[in-house]
Amino acid sequence: MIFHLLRLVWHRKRQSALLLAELFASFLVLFAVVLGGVVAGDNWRRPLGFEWEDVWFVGVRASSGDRPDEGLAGRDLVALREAVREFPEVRSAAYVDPAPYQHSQWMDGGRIAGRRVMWRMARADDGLPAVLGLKLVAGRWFSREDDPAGTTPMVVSESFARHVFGTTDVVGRDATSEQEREDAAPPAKRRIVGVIADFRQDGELMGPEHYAFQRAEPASGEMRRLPRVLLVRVAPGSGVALEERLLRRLERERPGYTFQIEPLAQMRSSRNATGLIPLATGGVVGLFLMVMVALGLSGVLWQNVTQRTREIGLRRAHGAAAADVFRQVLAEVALLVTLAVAAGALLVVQIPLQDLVTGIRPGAFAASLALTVFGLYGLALASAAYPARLAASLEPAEALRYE
Amino acid sequence: MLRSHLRLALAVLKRRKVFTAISLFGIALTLLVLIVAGALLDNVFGAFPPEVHHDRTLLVFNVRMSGKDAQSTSPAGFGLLDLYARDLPGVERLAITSTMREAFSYQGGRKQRLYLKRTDAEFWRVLQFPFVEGAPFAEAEVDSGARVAVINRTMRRTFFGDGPALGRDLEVDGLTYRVMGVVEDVPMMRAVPFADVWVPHSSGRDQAYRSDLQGEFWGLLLARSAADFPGIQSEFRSRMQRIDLSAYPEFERLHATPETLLASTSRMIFDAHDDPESRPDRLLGVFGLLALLFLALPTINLVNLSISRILERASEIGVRKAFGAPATSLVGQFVLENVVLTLLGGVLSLLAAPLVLAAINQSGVLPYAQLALNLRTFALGLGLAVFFGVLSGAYPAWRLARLHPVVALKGAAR
Repeated sequence: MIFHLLRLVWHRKRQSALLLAELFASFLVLFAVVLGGVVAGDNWRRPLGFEWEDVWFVGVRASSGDRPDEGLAGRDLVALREAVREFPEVRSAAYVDPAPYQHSQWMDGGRIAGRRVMWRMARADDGLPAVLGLKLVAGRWFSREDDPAGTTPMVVSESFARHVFGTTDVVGRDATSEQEREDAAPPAKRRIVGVIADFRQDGELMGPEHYAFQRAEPASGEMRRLPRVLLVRVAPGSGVALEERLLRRLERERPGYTFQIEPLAQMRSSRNATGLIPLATGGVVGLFLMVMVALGLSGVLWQNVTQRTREIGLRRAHGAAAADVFRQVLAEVALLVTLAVAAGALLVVQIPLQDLVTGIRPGAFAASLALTVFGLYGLALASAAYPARLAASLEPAEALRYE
Repeated sequence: MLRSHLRLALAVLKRRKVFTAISLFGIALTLLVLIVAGALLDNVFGAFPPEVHHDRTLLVFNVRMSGKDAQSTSPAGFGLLDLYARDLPGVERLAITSTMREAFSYQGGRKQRLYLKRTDAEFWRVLQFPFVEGAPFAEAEVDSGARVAVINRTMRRTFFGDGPALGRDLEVDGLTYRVMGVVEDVPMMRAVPFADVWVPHSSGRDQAYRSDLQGEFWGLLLARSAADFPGIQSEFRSRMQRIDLSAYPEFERLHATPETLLASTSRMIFDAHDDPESRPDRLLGVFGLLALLFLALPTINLVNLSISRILERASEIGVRKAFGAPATSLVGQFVLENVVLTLLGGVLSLLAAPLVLAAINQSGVLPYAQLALNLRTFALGLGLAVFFGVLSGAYPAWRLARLHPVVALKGAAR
C-alpha cells in the first residue's frame, strides 16, 4: 500500500516536490514559533529562587567619574544603607549588583575541578537573603567570618554545584578556575561557603543558567568594585509617598550622589513585556502564515483531485468504496507530511546535537518537536479533508466521462 | 498586446474566484507584514521633522578605547566632542546631546517616569522642533547652568493640565527646573531627538563630565552638504589619533567615526567600532535577507497555487504553441498575470496597512509612535508586490512554456 502511494507521489514528482517544499518550510516556521512558546512556558512555571514582592530597587550613582562605579566609597554605601534601615516601614536593605530584572549581566567562566562551566554572577553584601528571600540549601551566606582577606567567598546555585561537582554537598570546596590559578598575581582563590536554590536574575523568562554570588560587603574594607544597587524590602502597601521620603533622605545623607527608586514589581513587568513582545509578534505572524498555508494546500489539493477525476472514476468503477478514495487522498497527503517532517526533524535535531543554542532544556525541545509534528499533520489533513470528500463523492459513471 | 494580456489576466482571475481569493489573501497578508516592517524601519531611519537636516547630519555615537587586554566601548564623553570636534572644516554646526536617561519626578505627590536629555543650545538649531509655546534655551542659559527645561506636549498635560506651562516649576530627580518651552511629542524610535524633558547639559549637580573622553553624550555634526562627509570623517579621525591617552595606561587607541544614522546603527549592531570604513550596506543586507527568508514560505505557497491555476489552461497554451507563439511571449504573459495578481494583493495590503499602523500607534507599545504610510513606504509596498509577483510567477511560467504542444493540447499536463 505504502509503496503504491509512493509510486503515485513519485509519478507527480514535480508537483509533489513543490508541496513537499511548502510543508518543509511550514515545519520550520511552526517549529520556531512553537519552540519559542514552549521554552517560555517551561521557564515561566519554574521557581525564581527569590521573592520580588515589596522589594524596591535603589540605583546609587556617584555624580563624578566617567565609569558609573568609580567614586563609590564603601563608607558612603554603609551610611546610605544605615539611613534607609532607620525607616520604620523598611524591613531590610542590602546591596547587590546586578539586581534581579536589571538589564545588566555579569558572566564568568572557566575550568573548575576539570569541568568547563559558564555562570552568571552578582556581587552581594551580607544581608541579601533577608531582602530577597533566598533559600539556602547548604552551608551559610556571607558574614563577618569572611572578612580576612586572601580568599573570595562564593555562594553558588544548586545547578552550578551539580554541574561542577556532581553534588550539592560542596561547602568548603575550592572553586578557583585553572585560568585564575595561573594568571592572577597574587593567585586568586575562591572558596564556596554556601549553596542556594537556583537563582534566576532575569526573572520568569530566564532559561537554565548557573549562578553564583561573590561577597562585596562595603563595611569590610577596600574592594575593587562596589555594588551599585541597594535593594530595600518595605512593608506591604508602601507607596509613592515613602519612595519620595526615602529619596530625599538619601539625597540629604550623601548630596554628591544621585539615586533612582523603582519597585522590582515594575521592573519585572517591563522586563517580561520586553521578552514577550517578540514572542507574541512571532506567534501572530506564524499563525497568519499557517492559515495561508492551509488555504493554499486545500486549493492545490482541490485542483489536484479535479485533475485526477478520471483516475478516481476508474478506481470507483473497479469497486473501490467512497471511503477508500477518501482515505487514499488523505494518505497521499500524510505521506508527503511524513517526508517533510522527517527532513525537518533531521535538520532541527542538529540544534541540541551540535549545541547551537544554549538554554533549551531537552524536555522542552522534545515537547516542541512532538507538538510541531502533531500540528503539521493536523494542518495538512484538515486542509485535505474537503478535497478528499469532493473526490469521494464523485459518481463513477460521470467521473469516467469527465474531460 | 499588453492590453489584451491584462484583460485576459483579469478574466482568468475572475473565472476561478476561490483560487483568486485564496491567493490574494496570502499575498495581501505577506505584503502587509513587510509594509509594516518597512514603515517601522522608515520611522527609525528616515528623515522626519525635527530632523530636517537628516541628509547632511553626521552622528558621533560610540567611542571605543582599546589596548592589549582591555577594551571599553561607550557613548562619547562631553570633553571628546567639546575639546576635539569643534571647527571641523565643512561643518556648519556641532550640537551635543546626552543619551536619554530615565528620570523620575515626584511632583504633586505622584510619581512620574520620564526620559531626560541634557543638551547644548546648538541642539535646537540642528534639529527644528515645532514649538507649541515658548522657546528653546540658548547659550546664555547653558553657559550659566540655569535650571530651565523644554518639555513635550504630553508632559505638559501630565504636570500642568491643558493650560500653558511657561514659567512653571517642574521637579525632576530632586532638582527644580523652570519650563521655558513646550514642543510637540517626538516618537521614541527617533533616537536622536527623542526625550520627554530637555535641560541644559550644565544644569546638573556635578560638572566633572566636561573633560570626559567616554561618557553619555552624542555629537551631531551638521555638514554644509553630504559631499563634505569624507573630508569631515578623515579630519575627525586624525584628531582622534592625536588625543593624549596617557591618563589611561591600559588603552593605546581611541576610535570614533562621525557617520549617518544608518551607518552608526550598523556599526553598533555588528560591534565594529574600530572599523575605519562605514558599512551601512551590511545592515541593509541583513534586513533584505530577513525579508527574503520571510518571503520563502509565501512564495512556495503562491507558486503551488499558480501552477494549479495555470495547469487548467494547458489546452489554451497548447493552441497558442501550435500556432507558433514563442516561449518567451508565453513566459511574459504568465509572469504578467501573476504580477497583476500580486499588485492587487499589494493594493489590498496598502489599504489595510494604515489600520494596522494606527493600531500599533494606539497600543502604546512604542511610546509616541506616529507610524503612517508615506510615499516611501507606499513605493516600497508596490515594489515588493512586483518583486513577489515575478519571484513567484517565474517558475510556473517557465514550466508551462516548456510543455510540448501535443501534450498540452490533450490537457494531460502533470
